[in-house]
Order: sequence, then C-alpha cells, then structure tokens
Amino acid sequence: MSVVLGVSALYHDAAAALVVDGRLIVALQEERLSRIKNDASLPLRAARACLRFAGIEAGAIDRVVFYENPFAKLERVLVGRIAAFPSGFGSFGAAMASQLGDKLWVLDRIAEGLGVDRARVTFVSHHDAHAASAYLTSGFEPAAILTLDGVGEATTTAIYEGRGATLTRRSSVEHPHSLGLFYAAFTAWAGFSVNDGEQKLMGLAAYGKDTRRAEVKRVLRLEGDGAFTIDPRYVETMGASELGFTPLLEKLVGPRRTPGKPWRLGAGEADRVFADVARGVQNALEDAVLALARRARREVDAVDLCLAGGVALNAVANARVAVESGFERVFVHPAAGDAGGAVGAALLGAIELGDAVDRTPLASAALGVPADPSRALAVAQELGLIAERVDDGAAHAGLAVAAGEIVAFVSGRSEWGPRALGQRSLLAPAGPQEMRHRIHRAVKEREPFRPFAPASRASRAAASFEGIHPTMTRFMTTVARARQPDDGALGAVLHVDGTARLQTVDGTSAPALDRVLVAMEAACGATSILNTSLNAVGEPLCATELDAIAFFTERPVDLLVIEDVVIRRPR
Amino acid sequence: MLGHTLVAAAWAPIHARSAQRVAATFTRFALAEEGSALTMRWAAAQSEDPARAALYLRHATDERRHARALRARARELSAAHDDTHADAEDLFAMLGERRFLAFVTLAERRGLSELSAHRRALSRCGDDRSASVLEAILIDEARHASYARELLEIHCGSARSARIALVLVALWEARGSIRRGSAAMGRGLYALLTGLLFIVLVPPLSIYARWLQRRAIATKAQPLR
Amino acid sequence: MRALGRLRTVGALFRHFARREKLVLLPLLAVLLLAGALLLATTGVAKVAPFVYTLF
Repeated sequence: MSVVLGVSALYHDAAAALVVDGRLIVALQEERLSRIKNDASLPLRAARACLRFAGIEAGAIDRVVFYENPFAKLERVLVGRIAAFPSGFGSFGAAMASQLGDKLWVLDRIAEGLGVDRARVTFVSHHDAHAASAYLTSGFEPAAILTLDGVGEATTTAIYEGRGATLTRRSSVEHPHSLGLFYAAFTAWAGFSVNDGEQKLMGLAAYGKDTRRAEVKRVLRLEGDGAFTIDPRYVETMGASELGFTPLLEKLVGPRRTPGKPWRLGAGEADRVFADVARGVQNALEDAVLALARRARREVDAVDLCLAGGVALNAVANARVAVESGFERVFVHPAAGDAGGAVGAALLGAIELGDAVDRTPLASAALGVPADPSRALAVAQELGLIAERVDDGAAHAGLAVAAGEIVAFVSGRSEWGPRALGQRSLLAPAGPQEMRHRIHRAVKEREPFRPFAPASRASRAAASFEGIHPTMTRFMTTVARARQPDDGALGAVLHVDGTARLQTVDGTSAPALDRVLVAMEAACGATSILNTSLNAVGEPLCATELDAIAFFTERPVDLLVIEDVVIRRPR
Repeated sequence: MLGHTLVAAAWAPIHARSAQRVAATFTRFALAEEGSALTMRWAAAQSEDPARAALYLRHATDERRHARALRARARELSAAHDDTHADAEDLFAMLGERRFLAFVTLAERRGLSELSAHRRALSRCGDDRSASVLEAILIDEARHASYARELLEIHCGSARSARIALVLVALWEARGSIRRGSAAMGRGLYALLTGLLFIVLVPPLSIYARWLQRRAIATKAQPLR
Repeated sequence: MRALGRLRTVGALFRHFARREKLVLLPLLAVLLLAGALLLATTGVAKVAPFVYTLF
C-alpha cells in the first residue's frame, strides 16, 4: 500500500489530500476546520483529519508532496525585488522575512508538524499540480489541459497535453503577464477582497455596459494566437503594494471604490461605473481564456479540455470556452484554485512511486469528513433546541422547502472546493424573489447584486435551462441560461442576465440532495431549488455538525437537518 | 492583570475622544472577540462531552455576536473599512482543559475590567450609544468568567487547586508576553538589517537582476512559449 | 533531527541557485539567511496574545 499526502499552503486556500494506492480517498481545506476563511496556513488540521478518516498513521505516509517549488518561488521574488530597486524599499524586509523566515522552510515544517521523515517530503511545480488535479480526475483520455492563475513559481498560464499518466507542458506564459493578477487588480479596485471577491466582480459585470473596452485593453492586450501581455504600470505584480493595482490604474478607469460601501446600481448611480468596468474586464478575460483554449485545441491532439487554476473558477468564461473553443467536453476541477493543488500534488506523487492512478472521473466533490448526527442531536438538546430523529432527513428537508422554509442541510461528507453541492447547503425555494432578499439581508449579509444558484436533478434541468454541460454543471463550474427567465419559477436564482450557475444533481454526485429534490417536486411541483453555501458572512463553509449548529443558532433559518436529525428553535 | 487594568484606565479616555478613535478601538476589540470565538469553537470541537461542547459553542456564539455589534458600531462611526480577519491560538490543545478553563477565567475577568474602563470613559464623553454596546458585552463577559470559574473548580476538585491553576496560567501568560516581546524585538532588528542590506548590497545586484530579466524576455519570441 | 532537516533545505536552496546561474546572488542570500536567524524566535509565536483587547 502506498500512501501519498498532497499539501497546498502559504498563499491561498491551504488544503490536504490523501491518495492511497493511486486512489483519491479524502481531501479537505484547512479553512473548514480552522474556521478561518481562506486560511493559508500549514494545513495540519486538514492533514490529520485526512489521516484519521483513512485510518492511517503519519508514520505510514510514503510521501508528502507540496504543490510548489519553494526555491524557484524564492528566486522569482528575490530577483524581482532586487530588479525593482529602488522601489520596494519599505516592503523588501517583509517580503524576505516572509520567504526566508517562513515559506522557504515549508517542507521542514510539514515534516515536523506531521512527524514524517524530512526525506519523504518533496514538491512538484505549481502548474503541474494544477494540471494534474484537473486531468487525472476528469476521466478524459487524452486531453488538453489549460492552467490559469495569478502566479505559481513564475508561470501564470500553461498548456499541457495529458496522455495516459503523463503530463507534457507545451507552452506557457510567465510572470508578470498573468490573467489572475489582472482580474485581481480590478477586483481590489472595485473594493472587494482579492481571492475572495473575484466572483463578485464576475457577478457585477452582468450589470454593466461594454463601454470601457479601450481602457481595459491598455491593461490586458491580446497578442494573437493565445498570447497576451499585462502592462505592469497598471497592475501590481511584485506584491510590493497590498492593493494589487497602481495609482495609474485609478487614473485610467477612475478612483477605486471604498470597500464595504452599500451598492447602488440603479440607473444614473455612481456605482454603474464599476459595473461597466467590470463588464470590460470580464469580456477581456473571456476573450483571453478563449484564445488560449483555441490555441490548446490546435497544439494538443485531443477533443477534451481540462481547466484548473484560480481563473478557472470564472464560471461565465468557462461557459464560453465550452461552446466556442472547439473542444467536445470541458472539465473543471471542483477546487480549481490553489486548494486543488493538493490533489494534483498527491496524484503526481503516487505516479512517481509507480502507482497506477485511478482515472475514474470524479463523480462527486464529497471528499471531506462526515458529520456526526448523534453528536448533533446531543449538542442541540444541550443548547435547548428541539432536536429529533426522523426516518428520512432529506425528504423532510424537501417538504420544508416546498412549504417555503429555509433549510440548513448537512449530509454526507463535506464538499471539496468553494461550492456547496448539497453536502453543506442552505436550501430554499427557487421561485420567490422575496426569498432572495431574505437570505441576502438576514442570513448572508452580502451584496444584493450577487445571484444565488439553483440545483436541479440532471433529468429535469433541461426543461428549465439551456446550454447545460454535464461535466461542468455537476460541480457548478459553469453557467446555464434559463429558457423562460420571466415565468417566476426561478425568480430567486437567476442573475440579471437570465443565467445561473446551475448544479445538475443525480444519485451519484449528491444522493441526499437528489432525494430533497424528489420530495420537493412531489410536494409542490418545483424542479429547481435555491442552493447556497452553508456559511455566514466572513466564515468558511460548514464542515462539522458543530459548525452547522453554530450557524443555526446565529442565523434566522427555519430548520437544520443533519442526516436524520431535524433541529428547530423552540417556539 | 492589574497592569492591564491600569493601562486600560489610562488609555480609555484618550480612545473615547473622537468618533474615529472609538471606531478604531471597537474594530480592535472586534478582532479580539473574533479570536476568542475561534478559540472557543476549537475547544467545542475537541470536547467529547456534548454538554461541555454546547457550553463552549454558546460562548463562541456570544463572542461572535459581540464582534458583530462592535463592527457595526465602528461602521456607524467611521467610513474606514477594516476587514482584517482574526487569528487565534488553539489554547485548548496547548493547555489541556483544566488550564484552558483557568485561562478563560482570567481572560474574561481582564476583559471585564478593560471594557468597564472604556465604557465609563465613553459615558463621560457623552457617547451613550457606544457605551451601551460595551454594556451588553459586559453582561456576557461576567457570565463567561463565572461559568469558567465554576467549571474550573469542578475540574480541579477544590477551590484551592483552582486558585493554583489560575496562578500557573497567569505565569504562563507572563512568559508568553516575554516571548512575544523578544520576538517583536527580533522582527525589529531583522527589519533594520534588511533595510541596510537593501541600501548597501542590492543596488549593484539590481543591475545584474535586470539583466537577468531582460535576458529571460529576449529568449522568448512572444510571451506564450 | 530538526537541524538536519533544515540543513537539507539550505543545501537544496544553494544547489538551486548554483544551477540557475544565480551564483552572484548567493552572497546576498547567505546574509539574508543569517539575518533570518533572528526570525527563528518568532516561529510559532502569535503576534497578539489570545483573548487580549489590544490597548494601543
């Protein structure tokens, strides 16, 4: 038996993933256990939880594989900082402290933290880890692979060919030319947090008009045949400023938006400027990603495409790639950001040890830890909540949603990746607009322009939506368009442009959510449900039963279902 | 703890002087509350007994409510936005339950005296709204200190053992403060050293580094290679 | 054991820079690493004490 633990950490979304005899067994993001959103610190909690779940001691680990080359990373940062002299004086010390005092020693800290021999801790290159995470879990054979992110060691974009268990890099783009940093710059400019706010910029874009292309083109230029350049005068690429963009960007498109200010997107409102720029940025990103995908189609003799890297979380761009790139199928790893690197690293480590990696397509993102309904029952009762066991928690939840209630739903193992896919979901009726407002205001406290997402059974979805790509909608990595956006059945889940980040559900991908949908449809005829993540503002997705109970005690939702335990507030 | 109380009493009037200062203070307090909430959540997760887990979870929920109230008041007072997230130490794992309870007892008592000083200062300045936010928090903090002390005594088996545990944890905290102080000095010295290096060694190397970068660009006909 | 592991990392670091023709940068790197010994005192120490309302 060979045991390989993959680790991603130190920049965004630390995670651990365990591969045993070439098979992915469990994967967890550190934030789910630490309860610190986007926790980037060494994922020792996640790693130990993975080992506990698999019943494996740390001493049995054959390899721990880190998702990045810390030496190459240091090289880029050091050379870049030195070359930038005299600028960067104020942040040179902090940057070197970060690299030489912390990040450089990550392999040692992993060994010490887990009690593993240092000689067994290795690394792979960042984009190789991304590519492996997508290709080796896609079930495609062969495939082109496109990885896009802020920056790894020095690569920001890469095209690979995947054939058998071999990944071959065909072409790449190096720092500072980065689609991730480009998008992040405008995310920060619009007043959102980087690495968290990109989805918000994407949502905002639908409210804008395409009137700012010329300005955006000065920042991101397409050079033909997939190549692109970023003008570093506008985008902060050295990490010298926390902002992510330079004063010149504000001269170009206008002053940045104050973070946290309430949004007003009515006609003539000042926030329209931000929506228009977001539109321009989103369009530019889509064009760039599409050009790269088309290049990949030409470079690699394969009809299927895999996407990974943080930029691959842009569901709207993915929808265009699926239709316009010339590939037959597209797969996006559900944890396409840095967390996914842990899976890729682990699988590459298994290959290096000579294991035959399981190439079965990833059927479900439920790769985390299960909740404990007995403990939930006991703790809920201690807190004075009304808790009881029922025969079928999923059916109970479906009936509650059919009756107009908001249900916090916990079932099975927690999700891998940023999307709630029915394992740790907040469920509500998809029709009434009022439901959307209620969840925005009272539960999620988030910007009102951000849409919620629907889940439908795979067999039902085509009646309400068009442009469904099952390899992607299974993990909510693309958007689909409503056939009848005005009929009221989807009022709470459609974006202003009639699209939705749809999840298609079946008995394999999310069996409990499938039963919820069956029960709901039988009760009220609705075939779509509002499915948003089970977490409060500023918190990561719930993982354990305690997280869900804590959420329930703080937020005005009607019902909490944890497997076969149903919990309500006393009247 | 006396030191903290005295310092709080000295600084509170200064912090209460303007809306901006109150907002900044409340944001810092919110971070402390969020850190405490994390610590209590971790304690709940590691407590096998459901009653104990529920107690810690309730405590964590209180702290999060405090943090929300403090941030909300800070937003009312100032447009400046701070979305820094708290960090915390897993004290339950570090100390074990007995010393953890002793720590919580001491910490909540300390919080009571500090927040009381601030509440008094705010009332004296006429900012009753801000004072009432702290007033509501103080009620919970008193309850937290009380239950933690009771649990500690149950855990220790006697009031005397509980007092010993409190003293030992107070010493541990003092040692931690010294370590934090020396770590801060180490960071300061490092910043000075690297600043000097930047001025002395980096300028000649920057020419070489730029040459390296130019060479890297020249070897690639276009960005995508 | 911990020191051995760290030496392994230092060795890998120097080999990386030597291989990539960045030898000229090695002296600066060496000085930065030595200065970094000051940071060893900060490893694992949280900057702010837990449960403390920072007074300043």
